[in-house]
Amino acid sequence: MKNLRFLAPVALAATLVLATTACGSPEAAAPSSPTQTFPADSTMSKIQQRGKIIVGVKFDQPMFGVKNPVTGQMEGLDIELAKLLAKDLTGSEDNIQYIEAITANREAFIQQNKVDAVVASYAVTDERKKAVAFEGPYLESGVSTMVRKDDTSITKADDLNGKPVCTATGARAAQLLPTIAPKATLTLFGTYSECAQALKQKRVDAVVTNESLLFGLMDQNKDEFKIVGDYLASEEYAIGSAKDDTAWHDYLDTFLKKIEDNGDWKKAYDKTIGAVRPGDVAAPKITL
Amino acid sequence: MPILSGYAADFSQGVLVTLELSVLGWVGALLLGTILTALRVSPIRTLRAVSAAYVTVFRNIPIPVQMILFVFGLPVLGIQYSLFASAAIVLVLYTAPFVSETLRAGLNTVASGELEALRALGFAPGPSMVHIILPQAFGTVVKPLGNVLITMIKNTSVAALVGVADLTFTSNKASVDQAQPFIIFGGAAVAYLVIGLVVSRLVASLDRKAAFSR
Repeated sequence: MKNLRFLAPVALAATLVLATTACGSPEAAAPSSPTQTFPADSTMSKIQQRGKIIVGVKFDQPMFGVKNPVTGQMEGLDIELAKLLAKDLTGSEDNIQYIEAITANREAFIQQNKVDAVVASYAVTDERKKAVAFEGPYLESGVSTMVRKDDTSITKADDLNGKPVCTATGARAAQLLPTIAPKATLTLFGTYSECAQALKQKRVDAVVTNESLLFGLMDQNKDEFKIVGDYLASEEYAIGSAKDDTAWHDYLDTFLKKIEDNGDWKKAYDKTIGAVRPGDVAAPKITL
Repeated sequence: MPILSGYAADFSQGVLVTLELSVLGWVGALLLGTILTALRVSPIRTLRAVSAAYVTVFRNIPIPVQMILFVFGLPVLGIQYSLFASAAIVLVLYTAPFVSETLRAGLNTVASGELEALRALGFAPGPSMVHIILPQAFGTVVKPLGNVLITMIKNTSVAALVGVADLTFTSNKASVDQAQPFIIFGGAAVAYLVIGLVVSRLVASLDRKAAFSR
């Protein structure tokens, strides 16, 4: 038996896991108290019957959708919007199931109906418009350049030529850069925190992506970086949904208009991106 | 397939990088693995311990973890290689223990009396190992080593994690740009399959030769 002693903590852990899942299983979503009624076969009504909305979000994108490693809570602008959406449909902002939607599988999740909607820092592009429907935009922003604080050699887009530049796999910046600074060498990592690390270690000289993400990185790495120059391109972030579901599309657009008008959008923005980005940002016009 | 043709250049570049990583990784892993095996059966206890410790550590840390540690951890200590070199080195470090353990199994099939006989005939332990014992050991483990090689080729995809533009990486990038993951990753799967098939064939024919000489 002596040799098996190391198994004790394992067995204990397994028991605990079983116990917690057993307690967790009868957990029912908070009773759905819909404020609006919809046609029976519509997505809205399906969500109300199910009692919760299934949303594809990022789990690793500070400012938009990130799972706080300490509290385990989801945070970010996308999460705030998803909560407002859940509240609008089911009466409570807790009636959400988050599914991790990484950049590469967002279209697939929508097309296979694994999610009702994707709210995952989803930038609108023509290619993506062919695959999914967009609602919004709910944020107008731009692609910016971040460099080390003591670096004065990069002040505008042109200066990126001949320099190693980092962004994350799947970022629109990766598509933009060859046209903006053709001689820049692109390094792509899975996450922006790796880009920030590479920038610190001078493996790259700039990180290029949506400015909200850059402000988030600057907030995490105080006094290390700065943002230089103008927007390399403007970017619109929108909700993604199934292409042929027009009723759902119209509902989502109406929902976004509503929260922009009643101030909920502003609250969500101020709580997340607004907390690290200086200056005021107006809610964008819903055009999609 | 307009989607794939638009990325044909990127895609073939990706295949090329995957092949480069495979060749470099395999040559390095064979060398390091053989050295580890030789140390493992050496008469000197310290050398045996070093080899065993290396195998234990590098075989048990998942390759993505090693990759990230190598690329982002080592620069903290002032050691920094290019991303491609880092990926190749990590492949070697990770694969060598598997080569070594496989080879050691082959070594056990060579009668221990042979080494004693060689010693009695006045051969030094080093040369008799290199020229007589190891070649026999290799001959018996061609197929298992082939498995290690095929696993390693698939492990090259971990380089995509640290931004090396291999087949997985270019596929990932293309699928994100084009919003068409199925077609593009389908293409990547076929490419890996072809590489794997070619390697299996080579290994099989090599094994037939080795079997003939056995």
